[in-house]
Amino acid sequence: MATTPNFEPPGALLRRIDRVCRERIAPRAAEVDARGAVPAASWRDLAEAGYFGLFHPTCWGGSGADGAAQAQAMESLATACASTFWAASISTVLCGKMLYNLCSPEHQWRWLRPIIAGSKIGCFAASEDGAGSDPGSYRATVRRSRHGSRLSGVKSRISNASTADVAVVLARHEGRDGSGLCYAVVDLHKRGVSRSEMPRVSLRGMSWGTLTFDDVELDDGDVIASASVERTLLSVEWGQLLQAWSSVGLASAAFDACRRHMLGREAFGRPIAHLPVLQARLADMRAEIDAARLISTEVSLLKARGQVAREAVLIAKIHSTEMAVRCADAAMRTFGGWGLSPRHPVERIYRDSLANVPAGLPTDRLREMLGCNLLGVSPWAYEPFDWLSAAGLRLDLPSAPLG
Amino acid sequence: METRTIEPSCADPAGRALAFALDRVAPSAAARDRGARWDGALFLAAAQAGLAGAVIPQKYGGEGLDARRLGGCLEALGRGGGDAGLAAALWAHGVGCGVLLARLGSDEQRRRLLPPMARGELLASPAFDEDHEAGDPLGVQTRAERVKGGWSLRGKKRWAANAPVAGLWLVSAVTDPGAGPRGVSAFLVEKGTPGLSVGPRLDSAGLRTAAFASLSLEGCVVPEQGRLGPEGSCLTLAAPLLRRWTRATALAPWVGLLDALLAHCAGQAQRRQLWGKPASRSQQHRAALADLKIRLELARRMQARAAEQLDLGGPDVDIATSCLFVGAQIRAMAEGARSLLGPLALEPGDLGERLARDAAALGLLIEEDSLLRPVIAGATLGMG
Repeated sequence: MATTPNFEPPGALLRRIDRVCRERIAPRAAEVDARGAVPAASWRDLAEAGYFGLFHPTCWGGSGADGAAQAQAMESLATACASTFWAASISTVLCGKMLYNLCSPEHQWRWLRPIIAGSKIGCFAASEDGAGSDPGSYRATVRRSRHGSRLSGVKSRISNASTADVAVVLARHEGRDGSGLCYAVVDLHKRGVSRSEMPRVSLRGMSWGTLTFDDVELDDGDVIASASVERTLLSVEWGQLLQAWSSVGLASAAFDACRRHMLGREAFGRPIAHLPVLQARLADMRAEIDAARLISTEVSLLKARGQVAREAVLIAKIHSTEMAVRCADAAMRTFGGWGLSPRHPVERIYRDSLANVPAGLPTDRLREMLGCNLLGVSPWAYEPFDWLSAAGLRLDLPSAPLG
Repeated sequence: METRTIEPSCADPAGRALAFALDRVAPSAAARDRGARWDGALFLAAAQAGLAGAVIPQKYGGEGLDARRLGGCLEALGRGGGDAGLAAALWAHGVGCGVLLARLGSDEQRRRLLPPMARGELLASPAFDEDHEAGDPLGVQTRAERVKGGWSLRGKKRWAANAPVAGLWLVSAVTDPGAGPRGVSAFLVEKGTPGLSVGPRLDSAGLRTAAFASLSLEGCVVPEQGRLGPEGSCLTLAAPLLRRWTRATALAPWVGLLDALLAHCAGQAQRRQLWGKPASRSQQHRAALADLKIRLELARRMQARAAEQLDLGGPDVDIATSCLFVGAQIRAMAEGARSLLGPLALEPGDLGERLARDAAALGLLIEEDSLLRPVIAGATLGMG
């Protein structure tokens, strides 16, 4: 796998990535969606262009690019193909940053280095069938015994589930010190790991599915039980930034499609670009996208400096993801009936935009967290409600053994 | 993110503005709004705090700030003072008129007029807009006929900010009817000029602490040296300059006003009761507050971008887009806040109730969306 050249004029790296996105990735987007897979050629193209290394230091083969460069590259790739962007970025940005922030140098040597080279794929496994926003109800558990640690449980709705080589798994931890949450670095080719794909309407080119762990053996070093809230936030926020840029890219693609269509499509004797209603829609799209780009770039700058973005990333995620659906909807209206046809990219953009809203904590939950922040109250505080017993719930966490 | 707290400090213009706003503007804002009272002494005090001459060059007694630092001052004024009308008056005077005079005025005009403007002693009113007649592409019907020693102006101007209390009005008039857009010139009309009459003060539900009125020019003679900028340059020089500065800076006070409004809403959420519990416990209330926060923070950044683009000579379309976006957030936030406050907004002097009315009067400050959107779309589509 080619590595990024060490010495090149400033801007050359970004121009190369942008060119690869426009000339190689974007033309494959429709087929990626139709076939349900990102081709190996795209993976190679991105690796050679240096995309995976943008987010990581040179000691692991990265380029140590600044936040502005990361922002531009993410937008370029996200505009070209949402599924490819997600697959590549879940691996290098979300999983990669978890490995870097939470795990040992040994893990980074074993997994982060090849992720940066593009020869291995990573994923982050947190949500389960019965648990999304509420990590307190996870059932997947790492159990310590004198024979070592073992992971059992099922994670679902995991990006890159079928294609990944390694997973950083967020699970319950039961050991001598009681129970809490822990991270486990799991080689997905180990005995006891099985996977399956889940059908979906959005991001069809990316792998998305279930990881089942059946008593998977873990070395002690593979279990990280002491991750602080700060370190967790530091890493998890990269995922939310990923969703924000995916949305900016999708909205940008919708905007460009509208612009071209308005200039070419004729009705009542002239291009529909002359219609004030369509002009108003285009102007409003531009305003929303510009605002999303501004806040997302700010978050990229913060994250690249190793900081926690806190409210800025909540704002970026909530606004960008929801505005992308609005822009995609506006594009559908501009294309009229043609919006429904795969001859144009808007129907794929519309479907893909839907995934970003619930991903990485749904916007409903993020709004609550933001609102609580404003009010100085905790989003984790218990509020009594009157159907507790009727719903069969208990106040403490379940300790039932896994099936 | 931490909201930047500005410590009041004489050395920092925004700090001075905040101290002035907290100390002198906020205590009387509600009462002045209720009585629709223009306070000339308060305007003078604002000038002493550097707010009238913010962008007037230092050699004429102003602060000589760029658009970004002007934005910081206006935001501080808004946040500390809660008075959209006073902010609008200061903007129209010091920025709307100040920039035009500073950039386009002759040496004599600048030397004579800018220093008293910076001190707040001479109040200026930008009076360019008119009621448009169908089929009038220029938007200017006021005529200027050449007479001995100058021009005689005839026409009507509407909704001029500061008009009832000004000593100087900036107007536009057609000097060459056959020359289309190159046939309109800008003029300075001073108080006491025969033929100038200021209409009754606009009775408005919003921006009540400011003063707006129409202008009537009936054979109003302006001397030779009363023309502002080269003849025929109003639509090619003065108007685009005023448009860029308006779009990029007129809404800056609102970033501060809305910041204060959001804090007010968060505070009131503890007071307001819903089903026997504070509204702060309601998930819907929290979500609505979050939406206000999102709008505010995005508006803050888009407003900052506009000012930066102005300073750097960036594209018109980006400045127009920022203005469209910020205006939309202001309207949505003002209405959203009032709805969140519920019955608490009916308490006398409530900030949310006042700002909702001020936001509804935004059309007195900036262009309507129906004008901004085609401009943005036209640039996007390459349609000019």
